[in-house]
Amino acid sequence: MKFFVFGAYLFKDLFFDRGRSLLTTISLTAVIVSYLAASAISEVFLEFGSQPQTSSPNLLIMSDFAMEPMLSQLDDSTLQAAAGIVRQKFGPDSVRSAFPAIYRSMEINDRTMRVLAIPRENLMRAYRLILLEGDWPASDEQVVVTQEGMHVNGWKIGDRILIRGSNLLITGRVQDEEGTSVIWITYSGGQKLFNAQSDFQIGVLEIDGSLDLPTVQATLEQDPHFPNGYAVYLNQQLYERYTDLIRDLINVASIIAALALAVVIFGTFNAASLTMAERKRDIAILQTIGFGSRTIRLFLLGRTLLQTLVAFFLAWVVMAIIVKNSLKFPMVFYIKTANLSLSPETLFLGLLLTMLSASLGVWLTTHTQSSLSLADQLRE
Amino acid sequence: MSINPPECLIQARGVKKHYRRGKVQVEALRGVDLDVPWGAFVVIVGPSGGGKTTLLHLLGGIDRPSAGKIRVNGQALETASESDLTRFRRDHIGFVFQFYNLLPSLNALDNVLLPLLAKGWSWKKASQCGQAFLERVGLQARWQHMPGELSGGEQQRVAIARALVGEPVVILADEPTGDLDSAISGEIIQLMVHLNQELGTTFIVATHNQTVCQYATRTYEMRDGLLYPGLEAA
Repeated sequence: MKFFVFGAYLFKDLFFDRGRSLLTTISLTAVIVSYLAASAISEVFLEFGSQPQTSSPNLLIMSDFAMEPMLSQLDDSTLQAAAGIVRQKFGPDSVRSAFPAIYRSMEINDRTMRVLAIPRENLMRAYRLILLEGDWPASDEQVVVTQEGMHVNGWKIGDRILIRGSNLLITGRVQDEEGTSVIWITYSGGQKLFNAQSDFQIGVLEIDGSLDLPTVQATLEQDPHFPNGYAVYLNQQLYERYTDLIRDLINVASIIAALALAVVIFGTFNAASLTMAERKRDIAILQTIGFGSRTIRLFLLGRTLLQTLVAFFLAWVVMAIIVKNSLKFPMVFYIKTANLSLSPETLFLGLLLTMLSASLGVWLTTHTQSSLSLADQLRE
Repeated sequence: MSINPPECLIQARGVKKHYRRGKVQVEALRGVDLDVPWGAFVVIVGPSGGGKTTLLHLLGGIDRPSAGKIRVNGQALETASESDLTRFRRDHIGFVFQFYNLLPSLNALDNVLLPLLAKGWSWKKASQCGQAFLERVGLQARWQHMPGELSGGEQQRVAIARALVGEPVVILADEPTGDLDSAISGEIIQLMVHLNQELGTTFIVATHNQTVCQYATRTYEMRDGLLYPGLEAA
């Protein structure tokens, strides 16, 4: 059969059966969208749970409630005692600075944001924040916000944020490679804002970069003079604690991804098989007329693959719209934005699997049918 | 058992066919001998379940005999491979069924063209030929109609055009009027007789309608898997 004639008959057949063809295409589209969506969510969580390096790796954090620093309560004497122990063991220059930090997680604009108050000079020096735009806070009523925080809230420099009745001015946008939403404020500003006098949530020891931080951490923890009930961890570990909390989500995401693969394989296979089952009589008639089983199989394969390709394209368009909208209205988990995206690998794998499953559906159905004699097929 | 008369288009000797239906062994044909000369209009009558359809399936290469020999236009069917049988059906046989067996997704002309396209003809050439055969069966004006838009008689005419278009050596018609009223049945039989005489194509018609016998050059009766010769027309 000539290719042109083959194609013409294929389209005629699809058009004649347009109701069922449309239904099959829609169900295939739904299956493929499910796969793409589940894969995209899986990828988000996977990226979410990864462990980026902090830009300030030489900070040791102290708190008395390691799971949630917001519930911790320290005072300056404890912080200075810890700094003294380190200086005694590793030399007077081993601690560059020891400073307090007020730490809060707050609902702002219906999103959870972290508010951190530290002495102004340590924004730049100890925490090594990079100012992308604007200025550092010049007064207690001024703040800088991470680009993630600015993005999800739609804020810009010069906007004001109302927190606990205080109108705080955003003076700058800072980079945060962890992709978290954080409002940075000066320590004195934080004290006023949260009415904190002498206590704070975490103590920060800025350690000489030439020292091995885990050794310093272990030494401090094991020192008999170090006050009981306090936890010491690296700044990097603080971030890891959050990601640990959502690590289970990664497992869930992996299950979702596996389910998505199963859905796309069996869904496509099923749709192809059903279409073939409805065509049994037509196949028998074509064989009777003298079409070879290879030609018939190619015809049915072409028909199914065309439907699958259209469904895949539609699914891709639907997912592109979903992804675009998710960027406008981002999902925020805790203080981090989850941006949906479709990787080329996911798309390619999906396309490959749908095509393979559809082909398998056609092949198995026609193979099963060819095991029956043509006379039996006509009798059926 | 000798197989020879060269003037015969179809020769069947000692053809048996049995198959299983569930746990039951069914003996559909119990030793059939048949000679069909070129250009004949053969009618096989008999009750349902007598083996008429099975015999046509065997003669048309749709099924294989359990025993015996079948030669159609010199080709041995009992030993032919699956692909040989497909080619055989394509090049030598035209089928007409009781329920027409047209593809519902194709219009009348497209259905008629199928045997030619299976042979690899170009669309243009096949289309011209198909139109000519639709004209022969009186449906030239309805070539664009879908099977669902045609009456039973018209659908059977399309099926006859499809069976004839590839210029087969024999048309095997299995109860071609079984689904039609008597007036339309008469028209269809007249059409087949006319085409047999005009084109010289051999027809084997299996039917339980005895009135068809009056047009036959040879009649047979099939009962309980055996074929009994009837009267030969002049």
